[in-house]
Amino acid sequence: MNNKIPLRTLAESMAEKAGVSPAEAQGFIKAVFQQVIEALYAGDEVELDSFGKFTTVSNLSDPICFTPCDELVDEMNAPFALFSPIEIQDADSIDSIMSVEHDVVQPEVEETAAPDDEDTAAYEDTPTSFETGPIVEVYTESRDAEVENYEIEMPQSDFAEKAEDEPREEPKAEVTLPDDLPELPESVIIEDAEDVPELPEALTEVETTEAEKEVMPEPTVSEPMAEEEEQIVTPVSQVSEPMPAVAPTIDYTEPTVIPESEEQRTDYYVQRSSRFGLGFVLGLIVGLLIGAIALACYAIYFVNTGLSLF
Amino acid sequence: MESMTETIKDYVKDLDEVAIPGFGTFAPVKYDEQVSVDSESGEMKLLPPSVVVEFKPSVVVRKKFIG
Repeated sequence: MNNKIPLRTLAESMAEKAGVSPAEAQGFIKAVFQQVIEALYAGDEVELDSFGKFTTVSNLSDPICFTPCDELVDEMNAPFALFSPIEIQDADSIDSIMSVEHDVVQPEVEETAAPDDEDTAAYEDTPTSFETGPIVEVYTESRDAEVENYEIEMPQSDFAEKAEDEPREEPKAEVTLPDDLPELPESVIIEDAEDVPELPEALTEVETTEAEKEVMPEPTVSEPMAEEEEQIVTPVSQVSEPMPAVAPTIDYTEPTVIPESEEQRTDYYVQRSSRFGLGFVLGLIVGLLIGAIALACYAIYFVNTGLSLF
Repeated sequence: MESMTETIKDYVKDLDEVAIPGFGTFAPVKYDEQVSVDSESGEMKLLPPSVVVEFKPSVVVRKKFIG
């Protein structure tokens, strides 16, 4: 996501789907859109089946207007289909809603998690026995009643899954997960733009990406990250999986990736430094030689006395 | 034809921009949750996050439509 897809990649994907060569696919795409432009120029509006409609607009900087078809709009907004606009009664509640959501992103959640001591005590003492009751209470205490709707609309089974997954990652997580727990669903749904599209899939996948980002704050290359995600989804999705199975899979690619790149990096730098030193010395010698030759020429040509040569 | 629209839709659903030279770019944009105020009634609403496809025509096309 957030990639820019050039024509070549698009043509390759299309070629796979349609069973044609990428070159043919490219030609086809270009031809189709050329036709669309011609039709729009002639004043018509063009509709592509199950994609959208192109219309002309009098705005010079943006002459073509594209409206996606309903099907596409629904598919794109599927992760947010659970939500609906909520009326706000008074302006004061907006600040509390928005500020609470900013707090959700940060790992330090003590302020907003539960003003009630009872609730936090409940989490710490019995991490495995999460019920929907206390969690909903937390939300109503820390936010306005209107926002509670978000929580209520969530499928209730998600909490049960989280309850079983979270304790396993407790001992090894670098961030204090019990405090994070009540906020996790909110951050997943509202704040985390990256994880939201994954919501329709198994919820455990989303949790693992969250846990991974917390457990491994180091910026690894996107490929090893994707590999790890795949590796971890299978063990975590089995709820009864014992703890050790998770730990090695999270870490395994780390040691192999970093030394390799470090070695490559040091090798590269060593090469560069030795080449630089060599070049520097060479340049120095050449410079000195040129200086010596210039001095000799000056001595020969411009000093008239005392020489029998010229 | 369908495979073309399907592939474009797949990329757009993954929040990837699709650029077609000589035509334009389909860029999905995610809008976070925000508060909207109805100017007439003064009604305030908390809108959920949404994803929208923005189409930006290429320079070639814009020049064609101006001239």
